[in-house]
Amino acid sequence: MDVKTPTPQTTLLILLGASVWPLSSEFQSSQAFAKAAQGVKGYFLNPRLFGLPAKNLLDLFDADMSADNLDVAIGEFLQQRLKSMKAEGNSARDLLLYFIGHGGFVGRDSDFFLAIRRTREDNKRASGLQMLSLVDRLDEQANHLRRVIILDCCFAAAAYAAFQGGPAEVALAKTANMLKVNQKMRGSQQKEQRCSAPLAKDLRPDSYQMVVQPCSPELF
Amino acid sequence: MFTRAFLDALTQGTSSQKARLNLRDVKDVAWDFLSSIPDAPRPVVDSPDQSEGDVAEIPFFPNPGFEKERIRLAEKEQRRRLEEQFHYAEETQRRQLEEAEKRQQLGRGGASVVPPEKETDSFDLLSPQKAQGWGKIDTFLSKRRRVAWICFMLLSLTVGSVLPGFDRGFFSISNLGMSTPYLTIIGSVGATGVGLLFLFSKDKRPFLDILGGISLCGIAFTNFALSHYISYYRAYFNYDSYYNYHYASFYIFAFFIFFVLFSLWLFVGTRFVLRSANIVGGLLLGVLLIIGGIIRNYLGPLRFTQMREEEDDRTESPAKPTTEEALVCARWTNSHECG
Repeated sequence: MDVKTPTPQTTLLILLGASVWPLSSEFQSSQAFAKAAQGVKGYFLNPRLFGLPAKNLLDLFDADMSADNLDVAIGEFLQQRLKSMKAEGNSARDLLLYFIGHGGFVGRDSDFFLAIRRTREDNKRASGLQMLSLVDRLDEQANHLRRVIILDCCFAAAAYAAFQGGPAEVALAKTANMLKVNQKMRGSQQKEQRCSAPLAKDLRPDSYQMVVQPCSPELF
Repeated sequence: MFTRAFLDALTQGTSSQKARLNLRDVKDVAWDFLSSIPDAPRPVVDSPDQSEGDVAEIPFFPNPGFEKERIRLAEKEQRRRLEEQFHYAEETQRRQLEEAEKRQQLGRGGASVVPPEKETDSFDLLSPQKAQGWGKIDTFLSKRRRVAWICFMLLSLTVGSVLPGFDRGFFSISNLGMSTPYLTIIGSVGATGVGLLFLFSKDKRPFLDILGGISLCGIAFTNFALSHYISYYRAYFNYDSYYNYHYASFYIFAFFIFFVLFSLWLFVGTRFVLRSANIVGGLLLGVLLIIGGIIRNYLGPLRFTQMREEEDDRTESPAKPTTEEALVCARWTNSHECG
């Protein structure tokens, strides 16, 4: 299968994260997060650098929205842009999801979540953006795209004590595990579908790329 | 911290020969930036699903360092060439000095050393596309520049000044009705002067090109407009005398010779003006030539001749003498055997 080089016109970028968490004292606020998000946005939109069309960017950084609303916004953006780009003759090929902020683990299974602006200290599972939920959304609507997830997460100090290997490794392992599980499930679904309908020839591989990075915001 | 290093990596790129960077390249460059910070966490790249290939290997981000590297290499290559040329010139000069010293020792003189003149011509730098058309002519003329100019001057002087004085048949030409073609003679001397100017000018100066070119164009056009070197009326209409018919063919021959000479002046003049003039200058020259052509057509000597024919009652015998003496003779004797 020939690999098509990514172009700005065929790439989508979703920017997530937060710089302040008014409902949670556990997460330290910092303007460094906002500056980082601004830098990412500037790089991708600069015509001399990446040159991404502004309409291909969904900026949800510091958005005052619940996890559910964020999920809806991402779904609508993907649906609308994928349709438009196909109509324009520039079918989307790549999706970048960039998260800047805090991450953490919740519950007995230590599920990995991303702390959004609306994340509450008393119920992080309900108010935070669950990685599994995000992966489901991407699998649902962008399974034919090459997906790159970049996580610039800062973990609470307590998380280091909870895990021997450090939170970054755990977050990476957990997210990767979620993706693999989803891949297997979708693979079996596709096999079932193949019995009834021919698979499109130009179907691209379902692939994920992920960078997980714990950071100290004050150093940015 | 990571995002800053990540963006630094993307905006600065690497000096590798890759036009685009994949995610692993970016991660490595970002780590280069981060590693200088104490206790900086190391970024991790993982591709959970590689069943259809590794996304981390796809060249995703443009590499700004590639263009910088390309420019740097090009500059390096240019410096190397310049140094080579410099060394070559030094070596040549050294050899010449050695040879001169040897000649001095052998008593054959030659104290001063004059390096052989190299034909440094801007046409050597022409691109392959420009080497067509004008470029080919330029290349040929620049290689044989001296010979070409000497031929041009000899041709101008011989055909324009010398030959018309010897034979009134093949090279018969008059200017403004005068039997002695002063304009053509002055023109040929002027063209020779321009030729000398170009021959001895070492540098190609735009001012010189335009001045010389306009002079040649002016000379050519004046001669085109004011010369009376053809009597084709005789050739077409005067069949009563074999002598006249035969004589008239000489005039036709003369027409072609001088037509070629004046065209050559016009061609060379236009070529030099257009070489150095800008678009406005070129257009101006073209407009002047067109206006001159119109004036020549309606007000030139041909028109005067036609008017004289119309005034002449002897239109049934359209043979026309071409000199003032012949005209006087024809009018006094009432015969077309004059001339």
